[in-house]
Amino acid sequence: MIGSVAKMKTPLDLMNAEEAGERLRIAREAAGFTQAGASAAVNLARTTLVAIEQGLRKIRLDELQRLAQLYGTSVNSLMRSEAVHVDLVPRFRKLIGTNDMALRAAAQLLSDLARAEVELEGLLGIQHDHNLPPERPLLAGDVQVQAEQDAMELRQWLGLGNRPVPDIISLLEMELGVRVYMRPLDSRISGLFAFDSRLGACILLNSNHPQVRKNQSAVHELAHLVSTRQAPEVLADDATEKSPQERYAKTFGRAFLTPPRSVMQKFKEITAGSPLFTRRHVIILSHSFGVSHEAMVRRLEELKLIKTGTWDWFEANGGITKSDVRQVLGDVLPIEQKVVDAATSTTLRLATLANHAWRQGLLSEGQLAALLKLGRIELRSILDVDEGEGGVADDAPVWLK
Amino acid sequence: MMPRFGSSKSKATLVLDTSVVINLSACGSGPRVLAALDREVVVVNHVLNELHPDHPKGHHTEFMAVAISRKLLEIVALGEVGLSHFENLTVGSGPDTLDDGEAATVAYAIQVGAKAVIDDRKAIRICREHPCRPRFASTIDLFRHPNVERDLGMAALGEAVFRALTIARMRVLHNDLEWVVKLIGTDRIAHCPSLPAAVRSKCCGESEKNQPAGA
Repeated sequence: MIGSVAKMKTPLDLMNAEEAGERLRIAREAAGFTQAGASAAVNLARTTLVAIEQGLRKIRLDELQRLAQLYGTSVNSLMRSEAVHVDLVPRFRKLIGTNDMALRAAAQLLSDLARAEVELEGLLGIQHDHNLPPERPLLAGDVQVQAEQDAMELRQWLGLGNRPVPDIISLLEMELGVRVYMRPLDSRISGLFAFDSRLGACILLNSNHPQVRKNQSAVHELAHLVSTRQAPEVLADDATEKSPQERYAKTFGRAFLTPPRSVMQKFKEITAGSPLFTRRHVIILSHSFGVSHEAMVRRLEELKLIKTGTWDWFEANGGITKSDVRQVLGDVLPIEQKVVDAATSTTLRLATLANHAWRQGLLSEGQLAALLKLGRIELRSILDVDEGEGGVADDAPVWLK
Repeated sequence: MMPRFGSSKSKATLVLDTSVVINLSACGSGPRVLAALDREVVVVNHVLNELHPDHPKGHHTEFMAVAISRKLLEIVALGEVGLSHFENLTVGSGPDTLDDGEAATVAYAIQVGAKAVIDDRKAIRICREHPCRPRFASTIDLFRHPNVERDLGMAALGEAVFRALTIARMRVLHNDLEWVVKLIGTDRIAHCPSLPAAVRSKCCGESEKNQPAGA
């Protein structure tokens, strides 16, 4: 028409309405809102929100901003074209009580971090290689026998033989391609596991826990990866050990971290010539295998290398103290003794991807903080690592004269 | 080299990004710095959302509360023009967009002809490449302002910058490194992890060379 100017299309106009709607639906459910609740909170008709989520109506910026704020996210996080919109939380629904906010938050965090890693891989053009072991679903019969068998089979598959696994978490990440994350969680939560065809196998561990407990949780989740891959899993203090899956996982963990022949061999070496089984022996053995003192002693009892009740005796007679450990191991403190900087702990791979994306100018500090669910200063501590000669500027390094 | 901030005669409104608020909060002299600048300083409400106490990681509200109560800082909202730029800066591909606080800061600067104070180098690149060419500055530019140097004095200014570097891990562009090193001294540079390793190790070497014999 003469004299009229066509209104320029905005980025939201150009965006696929169905895709935008789906992203909003996932964000709403992740935030725990019903359509009625969300629409009421942002003063939008419920029918309008339904139409938006179904892709029948394009969302306006003012509506998007209000919803983003309600859902605890940002417009950019919702609408960035590379953002991955897969939600793991619904898979955990049956495992999480309706009032268990801590578990719900942990499941959401696992989902968010896995999505973040996939998005970073996409931006950097990196392919994530899986090398997942063969699945071994539970069969009828003794699950503990199956667990011992499957643990040894996995060790062989990985080429570990009988030797100890000093770093189970790196093994999961580097050898198996499992996405492993560590963040501070509620103290009763040890870990979560979920598998998704797009995200792969994902594990979240509690960074507040000592290293040996994290190792134990990690191998527990590995057991689930092997035996019940398609089902999500929560490892918490109140978990029942009576289910076949849990009995399998517990036995698998023991067999994988402390394989019988390896333990027997090491026990023979460490106790050679000693008439008594001492705290020193416990400390050295558990340090070798990366397990807790109690786990080590109970394994020795199970393998009939020491008398049943030995751990109970230690507990009744002062236990094994940090001072005992320091005396035996000296300055090389076991990792469990180290103070874990839970506020900044994250696994190497995710930190490295974030670092690369920032240095290449692909994502800003604000985008990365939102993506990784970190405060700015926590994020900066990750970005400061591996800084190399390039520094933080756009230009070549300036050597101060 | 003259700081990008320019002279006090320009009196452009300053729009602070989240990253800058965090630096000023950490430096311990944030309100004094704002007062010395003697110009309108604003924060867009999107940034406030990122600093809200309910926000999981927000813990800079005390600085904001003091600055606002002393009328050193004002919270503003984007108008129609700003919102249009905000949408262009947030909806799109990752490399071409910014998170909400950063986008709102740049959008407001465009809307009112203000100067976006923002440390993130991707955001700075976007400002440089934007058709509207919004003006920008960094936290260091605030610290380098002649009024701030005069009102705080070099010792207090050095302490403020050191705190921003060590507590908030403030970013410093290459062009400002020499000024920072000269201000806070080579002895303290080694404790600033956000500075390039080459600078820290060079200053550490120089510091050792300057130690009295037998030290």
